[in-house]
Amino acid sequence: MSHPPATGVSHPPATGVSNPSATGASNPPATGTPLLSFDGLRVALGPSQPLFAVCVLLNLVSAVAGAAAAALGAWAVSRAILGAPADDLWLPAVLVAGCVVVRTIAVWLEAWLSHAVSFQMMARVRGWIFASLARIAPAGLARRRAGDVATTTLTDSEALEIFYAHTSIYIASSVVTTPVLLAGLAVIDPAVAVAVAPVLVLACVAPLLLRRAAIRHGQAIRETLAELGAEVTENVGAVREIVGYGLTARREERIRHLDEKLGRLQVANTRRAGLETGVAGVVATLGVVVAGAVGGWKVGDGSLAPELLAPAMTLAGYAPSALLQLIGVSRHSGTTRQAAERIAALLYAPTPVDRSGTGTVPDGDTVGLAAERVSFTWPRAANAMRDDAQDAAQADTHAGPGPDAPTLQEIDLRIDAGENVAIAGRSGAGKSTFAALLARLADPDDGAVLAADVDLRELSAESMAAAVGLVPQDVFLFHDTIRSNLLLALTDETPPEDETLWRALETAQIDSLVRSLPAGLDTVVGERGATLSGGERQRLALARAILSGTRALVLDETVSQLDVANERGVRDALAADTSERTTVVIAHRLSTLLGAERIVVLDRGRVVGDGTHDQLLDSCATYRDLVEPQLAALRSSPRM
Amino acid sequence: MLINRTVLRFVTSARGHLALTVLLGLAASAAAVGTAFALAEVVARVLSASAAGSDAGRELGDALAPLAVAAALTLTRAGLLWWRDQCAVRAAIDVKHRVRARLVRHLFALGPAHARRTRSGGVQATLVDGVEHLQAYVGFYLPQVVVSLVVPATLVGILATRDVAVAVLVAVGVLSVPIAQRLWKRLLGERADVHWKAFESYAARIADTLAGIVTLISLGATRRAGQRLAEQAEQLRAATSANLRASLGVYIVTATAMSAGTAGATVLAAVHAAQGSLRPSDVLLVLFLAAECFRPLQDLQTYWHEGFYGLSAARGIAQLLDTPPVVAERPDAAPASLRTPPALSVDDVTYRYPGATQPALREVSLQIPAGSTVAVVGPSGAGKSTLVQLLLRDLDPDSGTVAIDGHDLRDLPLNQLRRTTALVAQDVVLLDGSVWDNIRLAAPDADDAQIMAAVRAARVDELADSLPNGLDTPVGERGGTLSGGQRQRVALARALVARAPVLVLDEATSALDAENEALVTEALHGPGADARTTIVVAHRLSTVARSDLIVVLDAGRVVEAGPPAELARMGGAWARMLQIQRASLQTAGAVR
Ligand SMILES: Nc1ncnc2c1ncn2[C@@H]1O[C@H](COP(=O)(O)OP(=O)(O)OP(=O)(O)O)[C@@H](O)[C@H]1O
Ligand SMILES: Nc1ncnc2c1ncn2[C@@H]1O[C@H](COP(=O)(O)OP(=O)(O)OP(=O)(O)O)[C@@H](O)[C@H]1O
Ligand SMILES: [Mg+2]
Ligand SMILES: [Mg+2]
Repeated sequence: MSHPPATGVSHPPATGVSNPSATGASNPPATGTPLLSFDGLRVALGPSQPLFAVCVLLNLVSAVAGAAAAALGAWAVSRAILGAPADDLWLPAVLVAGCVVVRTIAVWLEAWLSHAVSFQMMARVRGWIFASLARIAPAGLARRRAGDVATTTLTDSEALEIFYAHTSIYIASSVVTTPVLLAGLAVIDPAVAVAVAPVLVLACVAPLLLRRAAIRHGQAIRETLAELGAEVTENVGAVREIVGYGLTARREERIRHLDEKLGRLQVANTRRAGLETGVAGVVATLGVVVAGAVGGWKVGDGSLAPELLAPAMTLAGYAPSALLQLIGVSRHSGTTRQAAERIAALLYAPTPVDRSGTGTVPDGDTVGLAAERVSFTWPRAANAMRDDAQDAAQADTHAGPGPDAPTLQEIDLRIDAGENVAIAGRSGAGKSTFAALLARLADPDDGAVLAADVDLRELSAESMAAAVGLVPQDVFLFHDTIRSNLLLALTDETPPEDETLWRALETAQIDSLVRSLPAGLDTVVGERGATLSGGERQRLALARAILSGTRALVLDETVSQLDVANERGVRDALAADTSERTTVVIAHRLSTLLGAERIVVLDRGRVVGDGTHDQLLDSCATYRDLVEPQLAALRSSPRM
Repeated sequence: MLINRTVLRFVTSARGHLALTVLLGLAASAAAVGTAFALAEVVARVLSASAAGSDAGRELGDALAPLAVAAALTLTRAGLLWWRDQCAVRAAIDVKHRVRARLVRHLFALGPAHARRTRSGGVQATLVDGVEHLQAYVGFYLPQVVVSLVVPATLVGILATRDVAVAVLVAVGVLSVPIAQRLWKRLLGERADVHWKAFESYAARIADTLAGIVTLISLGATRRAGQRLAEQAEQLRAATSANLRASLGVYIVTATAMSAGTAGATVLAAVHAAQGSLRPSDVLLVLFLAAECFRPLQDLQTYWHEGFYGLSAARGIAQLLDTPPVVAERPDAAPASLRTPPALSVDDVTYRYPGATQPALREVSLQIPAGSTVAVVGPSGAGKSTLVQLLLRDLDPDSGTVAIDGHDLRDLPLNQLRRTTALVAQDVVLLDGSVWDNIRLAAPDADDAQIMAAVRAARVDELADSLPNGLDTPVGERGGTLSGGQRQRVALARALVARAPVLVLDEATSALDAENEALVTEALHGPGADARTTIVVAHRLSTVARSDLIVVLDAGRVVEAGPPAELARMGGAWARMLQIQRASLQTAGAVR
């Protein structure tokens, strides 16, 4: 029995899942790196680091120029009051004008550059998130609601971007600018500078004191928003059920409830954030008042020139400006932290199926598939999550026998290269689960699945995709054109001739429909393929799998919604298709089963029969139960 | 100024809080102006004391009083700002609440057919993020518009009493801000639209990609999908940048006007003082007041950025609210008295999907007698599910009528119709919750015995035995942790428990094994079967063989209808379908 190579250990995203050069995305920070840290910032900045430094510098320049303009103005005014002639005011006037120009340019440049940095970083963060999603899906996503994950990708990455592209600039700039302005003040009068310093400390202290509350509020708000998102998405997907069963009032109520919760949290948050606004709104004035008191006293005892009082006061008003910018964005620090945590949870999630192998399948026409003593149980994550005391108590009273039997048990099966095998079994027997293992959407708990005698866990992501293709029971089409949906199956950079696409469509017996559509191959099929009928969706997904040219094809109930004539058409076309391939067909319908050379019967996760129809009718009771009703219906239907 | 009509509709309800927000904002500005007066007085007294060179100590004592006033006013301002924030957020929450409630209600009113056409990620973006963006717009931006109209006007007035030239200079600076905003407004409006559309479709693309991530993995296409997402992100970036260019224009004008205005006024005042045309204390007042003139505008500028997203979101919201429902209830719709079970009839119905070239159904007529079981069969794409949607009035026919007991469906209230019918759709959707929750929701008033009866009829009892927590096992999002057949059975139990007089099954047993299917079919034909009219869409012979009537659809037309035995004898379409089934089994020697 071979064991999975280090599953459950997280790896950097496999090559083939994320290609840094192609997507312009960099690798995420090493596992465990806090995102809201200098290291996190450094990785997120990547090549934008110089640009970032320029932004910090510009922020400094604009703050200093602004302060200088104001202080020089105040100086001019004071001198005028003290009796200087108008001609002496030229120098300050020119200096003020110069400062204003410098400041305007710096402000403008910074606005531009910081947005450029922010977009680059946002793209990088989103790239990381998507690569992680691809790395952990589907098992790692099972316990997350889709709407919730979408929120993380979309909104949380924005929050993180605000931190990286704005907050961090302000932090860096406060660290540099504030001392510079304070030093300027000290040049005018050290005592005033010393007196103003505590006011600046107040500006820092208020947000720091409130930090814990900020984080708590941010967390709760973010979570509620994510819940709201998940709820809305579910509602959109289930409008038919909701209106059909008269659930509208109840569903509206659920949204209302979440919305009210959100409102309460936001009110609580504002009680805190309002303190920060209040402090931010008066810190500057407080600085002026303090400078006025100390400066006035020093003018009184003659140690400060009177015309420097007003400039000192003005400068004191400007000293906290960088800190104020920081308070302005750090009001959202709770939200940012929560967003970062949610992103980190995705980035650093363990890899359920490690696709970083490098093995390949030997070149050749087809591959055989094999399962060696394969056992598998679906994780119970979904339960565990809800297991609060109340639910547990309820489960005790209602629960059925709740067997803990594995979904698949010691499956031993060889499917030779080029063979056409059907898998039959009751609903819930584990057929789709087996298909998922064949396509390596999950790894077996025990035993091994092989393609061309190579353990799937050793294959690289590309070889795996080229070796085994799966058309799942619930086919998925993207809200895109038919062409794009088909092209997803191809790895080549240059799109193939339309001819190739049409051939695949013909084999799947869907060409005539596509020809009849107004835009042909360029028709958009709607979300999940909503503008197509059920059977059309299945056939399009089949065409996509055929186009991919995989050497083994697993079809899970792919023709269940076709009528028999159509189904036979598909089967014959597949058989006539020149490329040799191994085919595994999962089906309930007898006519489909009979199309295979060999039928494998699953029951409660075990193989209970393996042979031809006639052999199984004689030897396998489960099989007889499965097909007898279908034979009976045909026998009893009147003949012509 | 950025004002949006849709939002204003909802804002009226929060008038009180908004008015208070404005008043508090004005009061905070007044406190700031008071502080400016006091500080000017402080400097003036110190300077005059030192100029006079008299008893400095006493003069300095005089400066303490205005200094204390300045400090007190500053603290008052802090309190006022805190209070303003509370009111602003309450007003915004009130508005958001109403908008969200309206949106959700409208979403349901738009109906199932609309939901099939829309993109859930986009709707999520509008309902969650879009509405959140209103917070800054409504709570902060809108009140600040009033404050920044009132305060600068007043202060310019005060300045004019001291120095007309300075007042004019400040006025020019102040006015340049709204003028710049006006000039940019059209551009901004267009850009806001483009931006919102780009955001919405990016959100939709993300949701779509995530929903299909398993497909991407098994196609080995995650990298390509990642690239496509990045491309779309690039479009969003382009839209946002264009947007920012526009708003940066305003930003730069404002910033320049503010710094140049303040600095210019100061220098001018200094010159006038030096020429002796302005009193020393007034010079200082000008110095401090000029800055206060621009402060509200600067705040407006800060909120502008956030308010701007609110404005683009408002357009998305308006768009959703203005979408008319696919099927609308007539104002004069009145409940009709229907028999139990009712009969249905389709008369000369033609339906074409929007954007399609061919009608999906053409001149379809059929009678579904009360209490009968009618099977609709036909090749994939024949129009069976379309017919089902018309029978349930998820769609209205382009021409012809669908009637229940002789009443045109369009004359009935939608509620009555929906109570009368239950559907097991071709794509089963379960709601997040346990198996039990999903069945129970169709009939909150049913007792446990009734539910258990449905559970047995749909063979959910058998499946519950194999689940870890039986009926209390969570089904996962959309029912993802159940097998295909298990999901269908839960949906079937849910429809049965609703005890609707009309039951419509669209491929409801396609994923069931023959044994379970036979048992389910048996239960459907069993006791209580004549209490409802049943419409079954199916491909499997075994599912439809026992129905009273078979309707064969092909390419949108009814090609044959009648009792199964009769059709089989007639040798038409149905007989051919039987023949093909038999032949396919015979070749394999299954039927001897
Ligand atoms: N993602 C999942 N998480 C947890 N349990 C699952 C998951 N998918 C399937 N199961 C459970 O595993 C068992 C086998 O399911 P599987 O989908 O393999 O059945 P199947 O043979 O394909 O049935 P059907 O014919 O109805 O499609 C079922 O009891 C099902 O509830
Ligand atoms: N929303 C839509 N917009 C445009 N065309 C549609 C839409 N829904 C269905 N169609 C088209 O209308 C035709 C009939 O579709 P319908 O879903 O009724 O078929 P069906 O008989 O139920 O097929 P199946 O057995 O495959 O489910 C199909 O050709 C389909 O492509
Ligand atoms: Mg299955
Ligand atoms: Mg259909």
